[in-house]
Amino acid sequence: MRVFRKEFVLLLVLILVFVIMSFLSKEFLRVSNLLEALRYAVEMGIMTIPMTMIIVTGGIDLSVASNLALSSILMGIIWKYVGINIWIAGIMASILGAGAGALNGVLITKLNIPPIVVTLATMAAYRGIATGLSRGRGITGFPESFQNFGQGSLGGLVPYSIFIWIIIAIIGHIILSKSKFGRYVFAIGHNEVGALYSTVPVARVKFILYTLSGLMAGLSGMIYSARIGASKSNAFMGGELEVITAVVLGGTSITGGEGNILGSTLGVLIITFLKNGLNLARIPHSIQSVIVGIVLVIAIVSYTKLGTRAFKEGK
Amino acid sequence: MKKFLILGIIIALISIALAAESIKIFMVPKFTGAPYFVATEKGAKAAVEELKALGLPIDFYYTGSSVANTEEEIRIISNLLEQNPDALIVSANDEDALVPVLKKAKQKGIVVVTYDADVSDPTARDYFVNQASFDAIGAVLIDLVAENVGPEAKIAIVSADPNAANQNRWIEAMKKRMKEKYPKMELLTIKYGYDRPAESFQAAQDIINAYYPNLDAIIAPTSVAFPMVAEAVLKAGLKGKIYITGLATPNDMRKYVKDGVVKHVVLWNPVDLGYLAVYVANAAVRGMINEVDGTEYVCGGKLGLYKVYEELEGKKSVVLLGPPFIFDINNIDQFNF
Amino acid sequence: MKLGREFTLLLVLVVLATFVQIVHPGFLSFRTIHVILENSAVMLLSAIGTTLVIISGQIDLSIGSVLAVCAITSAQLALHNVPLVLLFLWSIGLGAGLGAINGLVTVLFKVPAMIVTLAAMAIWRGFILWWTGGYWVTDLPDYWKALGSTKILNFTLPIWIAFSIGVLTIFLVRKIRFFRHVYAVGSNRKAAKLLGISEGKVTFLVLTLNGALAGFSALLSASRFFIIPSNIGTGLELSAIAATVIGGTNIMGGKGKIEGTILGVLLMTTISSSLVFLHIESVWDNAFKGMIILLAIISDVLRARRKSEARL
Repeated sequence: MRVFRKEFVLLLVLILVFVIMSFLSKEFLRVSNLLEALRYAVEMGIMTIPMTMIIVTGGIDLSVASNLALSSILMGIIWKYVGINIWIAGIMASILGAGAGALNGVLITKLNIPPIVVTLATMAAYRGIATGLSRGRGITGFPESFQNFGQGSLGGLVPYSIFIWIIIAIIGHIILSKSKFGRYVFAIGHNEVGALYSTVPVARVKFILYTLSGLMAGLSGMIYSARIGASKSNAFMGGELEVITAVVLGGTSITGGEGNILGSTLGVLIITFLKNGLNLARIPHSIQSVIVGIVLVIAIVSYTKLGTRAFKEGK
Repeated sequence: MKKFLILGIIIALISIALAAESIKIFMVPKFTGAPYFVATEKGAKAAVEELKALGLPIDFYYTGSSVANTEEEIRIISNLLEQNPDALIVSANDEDALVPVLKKAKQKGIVVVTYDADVSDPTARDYFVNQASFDAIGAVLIDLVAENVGPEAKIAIVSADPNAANQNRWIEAMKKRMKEKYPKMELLTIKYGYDRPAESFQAAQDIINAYYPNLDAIIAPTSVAFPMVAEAVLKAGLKGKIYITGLATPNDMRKYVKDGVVKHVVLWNPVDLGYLAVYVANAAVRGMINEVDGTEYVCGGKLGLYKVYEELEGKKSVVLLGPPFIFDINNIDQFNF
Repeated sequence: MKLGREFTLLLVLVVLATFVQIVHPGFLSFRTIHVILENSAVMLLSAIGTTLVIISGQIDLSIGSVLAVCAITSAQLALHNVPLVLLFLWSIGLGAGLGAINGLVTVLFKVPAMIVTLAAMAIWRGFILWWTGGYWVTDLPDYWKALGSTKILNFTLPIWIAFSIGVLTIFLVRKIRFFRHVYAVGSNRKAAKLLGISEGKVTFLVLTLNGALAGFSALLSASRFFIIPSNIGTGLELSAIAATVIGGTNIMGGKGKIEGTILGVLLMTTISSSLVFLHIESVWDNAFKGMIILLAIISDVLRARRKSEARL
């Protein structure tokens, strides 16, 4: 009996995208094009990893893009006005990002406020604070080596930042699918109350997840600032929905209990190469939005058709 | 001197026309979803047609994000680099964020021309086609207020996004003008409407409610906020009591000018801006920018000869379209953009 | 103490307004109050629709884009002098249609509305940007603004219309069986099924209704202006959800009151308008709004906790 796994579907979609796009433009299949397109997907890719786990538990984190922006600004401020080395400033800012994520975590686990509500508020608050602190100006002038990390490539071909993404993706995959922590995550997603009674440390797991999400947002903020050579409060506007779209496209169920890192990563790749190919094929950006939306709907619908999950409780 | 220059350019034109191959130019506005940028596209395409007729063919493609989004703009430009254009004409959503991708373009030997909105690092692009100098725009706006309400006016500003580089520069220029010429003029507050209609409208309403009657004028240097400020003044029944001016296209403001709630609209000709940008890019690619006595000159087609400022207002290699233009009830019907 | 939550909201509103009035006398002028009421009115119907969707256990992220499509197409029709009544029918009908599409896909394919509407948000926004070709609708005729120019007892028509519908909804929600089903489906899907309530029908109808309300809001909002930029409605869905949540509706479904949402909308609009009066530097505007929403949410939970602890 063959079980159709979502990842096979996704892989097929990705291949289909490649085939169609390569017909639409002759530059698409160039290695330089594909790798460079990935550079701009790194931040989104990194943030999908904790987001996948969070959505598996039935939660959501709408504050990731705002957290990225805030971390980016904090890094810039620490580097410029406190005079600390940019790399260390970046790490400090990432830790502050983790702190912001932890605040989400505390409100969600200690006060039992639904994640969508908490992160909706922090989404507005964090970016607002970033705007206030930066007063709408960017912080620029980062050292060459730092900018090279975000803008340069190994051997002139493979963007450095992609390696970070790969490493985090692998670690995330191992955690989610092979570790006890990962089993806890799924347990919470399937049946939170049941998990609680089976001695799963629900609150602690959730707290860790949202803190991790903040940490990854902070790290992405660092990579983002290296890539564009500036800290800006308007970084990655609308990014949270992009991340969630990729995760959902990748087969993670919004109601929880199902999902994996490979799927989410394929989701990011599909969206990235779809847009990349459409740009090269000179399809207007407005139509691109429509196409991405349609792809999302088709994917979602086919997942339920393929789904082996029994009817689940809604959110 | 000028005669030799023009002769030189004509010779260059003819010789290039005789042997001209098609060059590829991509134009990327901040976003495509605004009539202002549609106008720049119109001008650009007109220039492409003219140059084609002159024997200088261009494979021209205009594209951009449909809404203002820095990330999308960067991605689109980065993707397009693969198609190896000869020149890129870009209006930058963010003066800092666009720098690396434009530098990459330059590394590939692509001529980079910014228009409408420049980037902060001049080494990231070859030329900046500026619509009007920042000081001139700031001065015109403040002078209009002074002329219409008096040099001791109390004013407020409704801007776009606090990160918007152009708006911030114009506001700085306004402050400078106030300090230099109208020291008694007072800036009460600046609110940000984020170029969204409802937010800009409410910002204007809040300002009116908080400050009127100690409010004489509102300046809106952005094309979404300007009509919204007019709407707010209309709604408050204060037409004629609060002087409004700002930057927006005549088509967007016509209704308000005809109504009388807005007397003066400041802008420039975005059709000409796009037109000039293409001429500059074309000239840069084909080596048609000539230097005379250490100054570069570029032919702007029907618009005439343009000097390239080595430095203007802290920016390098600037081509200035011209002074800002004031639209009012007498001339606004002559324009369609 | 049945009025607990709403009373707290009202209290916060009054305290805030008083505080601002003290800092800046003139805040509570008729003009300011009218501005707050009118800006609340144009958002109110969308917020109510969102509340109903959330009570039913779903989330609709597409109303901003739906509003844009309805507003812009209506405005384009107005350029051809289509009568205002017909424009309303068009806008509400189109909104209902788009909402129905959301409903159909959600129900037929058994997928969460949140994802369907996430896709719809992108699709309709992309569509309307393509449709307008970058142009905004300008030079709208004078009759387009008829609603905003008509006043009853010094308050403009949109305020009367929106708040009347709001109050009406409060009563309808208690009387009409459909709304009881909405609550039932949201609070306990299985139990509702056992009771013979068709979850699919309820979900479909509530999403369609939300679309219709978005279409209604579209005209209330857009008919204030002679110009309609193509990014109109961006961010509406998140504001509507925020107002709903502040108003006390449980995001998980099954619980919530229209009264709360109305107060939530009023509170958010008041906060927004008060920032100028408090002389807060505008670069900090959004930070304030976000932190206040956060405070509202936290205090709500703490209050509920204390109440339940007191009961023990």
